[in-house]
Amino acid sequence: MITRRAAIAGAAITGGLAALLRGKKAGAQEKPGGPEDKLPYIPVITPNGKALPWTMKDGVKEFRLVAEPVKHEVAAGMTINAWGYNGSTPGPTIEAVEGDRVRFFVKNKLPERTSVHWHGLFLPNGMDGVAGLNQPHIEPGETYVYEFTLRQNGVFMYHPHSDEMVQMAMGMMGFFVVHPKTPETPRVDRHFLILLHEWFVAPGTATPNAAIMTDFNLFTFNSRAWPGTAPLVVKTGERVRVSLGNLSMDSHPIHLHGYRFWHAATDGGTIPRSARVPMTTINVPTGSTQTVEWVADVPGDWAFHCHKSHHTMNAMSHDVPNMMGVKQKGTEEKVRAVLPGYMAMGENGMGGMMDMGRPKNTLPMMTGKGPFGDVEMGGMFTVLKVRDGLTSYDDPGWYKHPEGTVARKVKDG
Amino acid sequence: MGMMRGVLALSALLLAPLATGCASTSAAPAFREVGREVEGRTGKKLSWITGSDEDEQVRKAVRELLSRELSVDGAVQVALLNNRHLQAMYEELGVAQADLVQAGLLKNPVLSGGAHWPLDKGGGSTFELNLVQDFLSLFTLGARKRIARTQLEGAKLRVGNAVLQVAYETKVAFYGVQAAQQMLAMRKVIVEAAAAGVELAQKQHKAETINDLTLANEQSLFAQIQLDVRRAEADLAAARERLNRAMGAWGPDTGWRASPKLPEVAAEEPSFERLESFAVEHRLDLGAARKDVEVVSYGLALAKNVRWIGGLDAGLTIHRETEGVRLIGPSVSLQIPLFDQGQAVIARLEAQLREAKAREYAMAVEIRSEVRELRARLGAARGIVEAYQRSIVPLRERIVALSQQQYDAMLLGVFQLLSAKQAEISAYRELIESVRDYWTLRAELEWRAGGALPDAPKNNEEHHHDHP
Repeated sequence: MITRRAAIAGAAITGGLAALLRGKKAGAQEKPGGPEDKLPYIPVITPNGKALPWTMKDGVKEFRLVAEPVKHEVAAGMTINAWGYNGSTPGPTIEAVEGDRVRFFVKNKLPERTSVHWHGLFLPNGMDGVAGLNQPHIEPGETYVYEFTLRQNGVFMYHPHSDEMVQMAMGMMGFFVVHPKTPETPRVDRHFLILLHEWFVAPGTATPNAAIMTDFNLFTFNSRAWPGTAPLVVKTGERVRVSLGNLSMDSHPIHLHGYRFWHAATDGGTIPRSARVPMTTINVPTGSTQTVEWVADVPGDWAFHCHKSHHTMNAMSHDVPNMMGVKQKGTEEKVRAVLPGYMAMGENGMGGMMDMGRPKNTLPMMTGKGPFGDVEMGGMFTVLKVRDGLTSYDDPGWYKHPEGTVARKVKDG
Repeated sequence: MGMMRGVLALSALLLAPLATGCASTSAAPAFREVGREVEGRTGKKLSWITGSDEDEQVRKAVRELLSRELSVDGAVQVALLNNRHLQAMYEELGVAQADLVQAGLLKNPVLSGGAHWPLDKGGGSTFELNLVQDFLSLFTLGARKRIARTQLEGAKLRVGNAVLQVAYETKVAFYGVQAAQQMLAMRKVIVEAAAAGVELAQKQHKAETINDLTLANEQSLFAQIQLDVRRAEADLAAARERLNRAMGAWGPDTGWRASPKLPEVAAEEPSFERLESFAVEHRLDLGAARKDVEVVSYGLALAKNVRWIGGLDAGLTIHRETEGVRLIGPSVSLQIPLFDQGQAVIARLEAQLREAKAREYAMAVEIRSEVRELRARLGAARGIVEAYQRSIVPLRERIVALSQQQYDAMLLGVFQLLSAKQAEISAYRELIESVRDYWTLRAELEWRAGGALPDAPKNNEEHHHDHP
């Protein structure tokens, strides 16, 4: 912990520029920053994301957000022309403490006007960020300042409220975490934040299409798609929270393997312990955050994903002919007479077919390698890695199963 | 004695033109000239089927050409040897040659005579014998021969022109056959692709992944696409017959096989800089129109020369008097141009001369316009071919490759992939059409420029004279 605190202080001094220069290590997240040596909370973790640095000025925590276009890597092999904040989508996670006076300078470097809405926060009406309703639009090149006092705790979000359909479809969103003044007990060791989003990026292109309403082809955790999603690394026995935010067009039932978790909070506040419900899948409605909590006491590599199976696929088409069970033998040769590269597909399902070729800047529909072969997933999928005796939260690699604990092939049973 | 010498001289005068008038009625030399002219332009030989031993050799040559894979040159050579319209046309030379001989013949002398017997007693009988020759035809003999010779020149030019036209029509027909062959092959590939598609649809239906309606739609589309092969087959049959007609082929001669592919578009066009002047110089039909002008002007000159002469007959009379005295002496009869001084004939010929000149001028203007039009259309046709070769076909090929890529990633169905292939083949088909159009226009330009295009690019600028 000491090491991490020191790193936090360092980051706070050099600010965002250093964060940019340092680059991103796969799966790691940037450390949050502040001028205090000791933070009164355990910082949250935004897998594949980063935290927004701040400075103290006359007792006010000052943050700087720049709304701007960003080149964003969704996973190796696919980079999109997104919009975000401070060079990333989602934007950096804002962290503060209940009671803080916060001030946000929002500079607009987008080609169109924007605004920032602080989703779920109690604040003066003129700070709520609905352009036209609560404030003027922030025109390109302009900087606006928002200032208010944090009067609640929980996991909230920020996003534009000016041409919001386009700007959110392009990736503009971020988390806003307010820690309680008095730390909760029992203490939460690892608190992960995952922003759920869906996009349409036509195969072979790089710019999201904001006009799509239902037929998305890219589903992301913190704007990353499997196998580009960072694992959630936890030491055996740690108390884990995952807060899931949803600013997409669908609800996402997020499921954890191997455990049950408790529904602990929403962006409306903490759920009293007596009212918490055990579940294995938490449905995250659009426009909310949902927080679940459990003790990770069973080591292993546990899948963590949206349970809508199309949401764990990468780019796919929804109007291909249904070839299931179609015996193509004989006809395949006839097609090959005119199209020498043709190969019959889909007759027996789609598994094991994804490495034949695809348009540039397009992820395979289902992909990823595990220790036992093809994982055949995509999109909203990652792995909770629970390990004994960890000394670092870097990716520990694949789980080593104790002898006799893996399903195995047997002779005809 | 003096009188006897005069008679002999007159006899010689009468006989001389008869001897020279016995020029050959054979049009063979005229035909050889036409053949040389045409061969100079097309590189092809001509033959006049006249029932000679040579005919069998020509027949063999035609069979030999038709038994090999036929090229455009081969087809043109067959047509020039075997097209029966041309054989009919060659007889114009025979007609003109005969006219020339005719023009060299004098009118035959007229022998007339009479006898007189007395009705009263004591009288004696007399008789008279007259040999009369029309002398005007003798004076105009040279002029009439010049006219007939010019007419023969005109006939040669017209025949040459007809040969060049057949050569052009044969080329167009031949390119039509090649294009139709390739078109049919393309249509077959498209149907092959569509057949694979409908077969897949049937298998889908069997596997219960598409319903009756979808299957019926696929089957209906396929049934229609299949007809394109029938149409292409009919097009090929029509194209072959067009070439058969041009080559005068029938019976076993129609079994020829044309080289399968249209030639590549020429790397560069011949010089078009002086093309208009070149065409005006080389067009044989324009040459024939010039000959028409000459014929009328020679006719006019003749009419003017004889306008005061009218008619002149000279003769020799032998007369026996009743007393038995025989007399011999010349006779002359002369028309007195009192009323008809040839003014109407001359006016008529003057009008015809103006008409012939105007026609020649008009034809030259049209020839210039024709070659300009064809040059422009040929340039456009070449541009279209190049567009297909450089962008449309490569793009279609790229679309198929990219569709294949998307198919491989399961982003596209097999039917979309097949229709991308069909579109690619359609682009090939359009390319073939554009190459055919190019060669058709080039053949037409050749023909309109006089049967051959100028060879090397020259630096001369197009000259415009007062006369087109």
